[in-house]
Amino acid sequence: MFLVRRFDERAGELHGSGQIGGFLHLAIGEEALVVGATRALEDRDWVLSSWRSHALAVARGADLGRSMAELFGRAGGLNGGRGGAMHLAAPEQRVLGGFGLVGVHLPVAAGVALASSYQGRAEVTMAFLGDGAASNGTLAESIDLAAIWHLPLVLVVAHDRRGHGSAEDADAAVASLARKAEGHGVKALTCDGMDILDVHAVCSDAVRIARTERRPALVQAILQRAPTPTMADPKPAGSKEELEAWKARDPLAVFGDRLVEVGLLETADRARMQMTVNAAIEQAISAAGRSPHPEPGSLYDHLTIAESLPGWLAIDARGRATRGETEPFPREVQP
Amino acid sequence: MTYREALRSALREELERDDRVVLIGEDIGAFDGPFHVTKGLLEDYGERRVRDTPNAERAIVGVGAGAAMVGLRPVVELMTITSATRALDQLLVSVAQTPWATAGAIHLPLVVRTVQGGGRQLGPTHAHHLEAMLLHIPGLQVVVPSTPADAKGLLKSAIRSDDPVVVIEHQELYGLSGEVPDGTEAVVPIGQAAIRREGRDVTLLGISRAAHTAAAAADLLEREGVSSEVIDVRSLRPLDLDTIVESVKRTNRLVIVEDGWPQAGVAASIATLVQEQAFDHLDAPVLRVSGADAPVGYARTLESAARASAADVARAALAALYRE
Repeated sequence: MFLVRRFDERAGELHGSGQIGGFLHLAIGEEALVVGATRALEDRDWVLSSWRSHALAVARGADLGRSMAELFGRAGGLNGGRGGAMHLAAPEQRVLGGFGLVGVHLPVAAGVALASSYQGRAEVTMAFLGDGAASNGTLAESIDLAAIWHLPLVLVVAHDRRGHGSAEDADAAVASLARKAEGHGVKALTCDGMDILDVHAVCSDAVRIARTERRPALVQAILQRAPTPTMADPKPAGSKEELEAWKARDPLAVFGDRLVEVGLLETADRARMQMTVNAAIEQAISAAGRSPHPEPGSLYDHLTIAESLPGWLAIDARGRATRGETEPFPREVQP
Repeated sequence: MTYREALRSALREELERDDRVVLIGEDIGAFDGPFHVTKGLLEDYGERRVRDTPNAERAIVGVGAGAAMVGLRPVVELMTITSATRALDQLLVSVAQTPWATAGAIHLPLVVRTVQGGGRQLGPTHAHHLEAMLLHIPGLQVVVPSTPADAKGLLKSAIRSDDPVVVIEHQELYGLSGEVPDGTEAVVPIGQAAIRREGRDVTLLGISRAAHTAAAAADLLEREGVSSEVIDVRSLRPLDLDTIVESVKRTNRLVIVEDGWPQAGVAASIATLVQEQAFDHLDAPVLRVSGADAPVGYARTLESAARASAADVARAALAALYRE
């Protein structure tokens, strides 16, 4: 949890100082959900999300340096710098993305579950979404198909009523995702998204349903992300009072305190653990910073059809760069 | 006034002028709009006129279509042109074809506002240029304003049109400042290109933000002693082919600039029309400078390599002049 938190805190700072660009959605306050839910999975299981996939990748053990390099947009990133934070995939950890649009990953997740089911693999697919996504048609369409085809799919909803978009009152007529799921005949469970033990227990139950009963399940995790602005979020940061109130519920601090209280964690060990994590993340940042920018000439890699393009490519700088020719005009200064 | 403020001013004036005008979209009220275009409108016009929706693009366009059929003049907003793809069935079937399919019995005075571009590392899902996709559909008027005055003037015309109009704004232009007229003076008719700069040797036709790329290229070319005529297309459908063809008759050379993809793109379509209409006046093939035929990358180097730059345009112009 501390690793996920620290990775995000530093990523947020690096976004502020310009090393990370684009939109960066932070998972601060979602650590109990991210870690509790992914620990309910086995290594063979699949994970998809719309945003915050870097947190899922880190929680599943993706290389920190390559994860950070992806956020830096560098060639050494998990996806060669092509996706960034919104489209980060860690295929080795079976995190397929990072799909960057509300709900766009839900039918894809159902398809992944279909392949597992079709080939008789006992894998489970877990898809993360926010409550805002539940108003998009993709949820209804996907959950219905998953129910009809008995797909081993677990949908985990971060229910914070603060989805990227929608103003609260305009958000949904029925806010309860559990009721929406039940309307499709899908088992719905609810957990306290601020309590990692509850998240883990409830998600384990949902994963068991999907794996052994071969049917979808939905977990509604009631939580509160930190009232700091998600980078480029239209909503303003919360007030000082809101932040203080949130700190009292901070899932990371609360769980750490609890472990110390019941004698499972020494205060000194807690501090040591934090130092180890800090050092690992600083090392990852420094590795990311050393990774080169992707070569402009690599633009058409992984698009095999591009080679057949005639005409316009011949007069364009990208074609020239590919052929190693010089530029008669300098290109604009890079940002 | 900025491009963003100009759009807001058009919405405000039309809300004031006509009670049938309603705004519908995600985050347009309580959060001032995803790009703050609608800032303050909920406060001034209330929830009856300025309506927040859930994230549901298909429903946003569909509900706009229905309301337009029977008396309202909705202005619906799709947060990005990428999310607009999720409402394509509504745009195609309910919006574009209904007036034709009912032999004009049903009019559809609907405006769809959406935004393309990005240019700040928004990666593969938030920086598309997809005007070609919408231009493809018969029955949709499509405008691509590139200045504050056109943003206001074309949006006002769109709201007053009895037929559906898609207004494709550009994310990188929201902060652009310029002179913007008020009231009736402000209206810019749909279907008129604008000659931004007169020239003798080559015509540079820019689409959406690329109109600025074309203008920057004209500056580069001037240093090489080339006189460029720069045209901003402003409206893709209806297209002001006359202005383009007349210019080609003067310069005998045409380079079309777009940020969108080249295959089946806007430039490809216009190039075909120009060679049909002005073949005997062309001294060189019509050239296109488009966005790269690849997704938009998050990495700065890839994002930049994929864009049509002023240097690319200048180079193409020299090629059209056989000076390269």
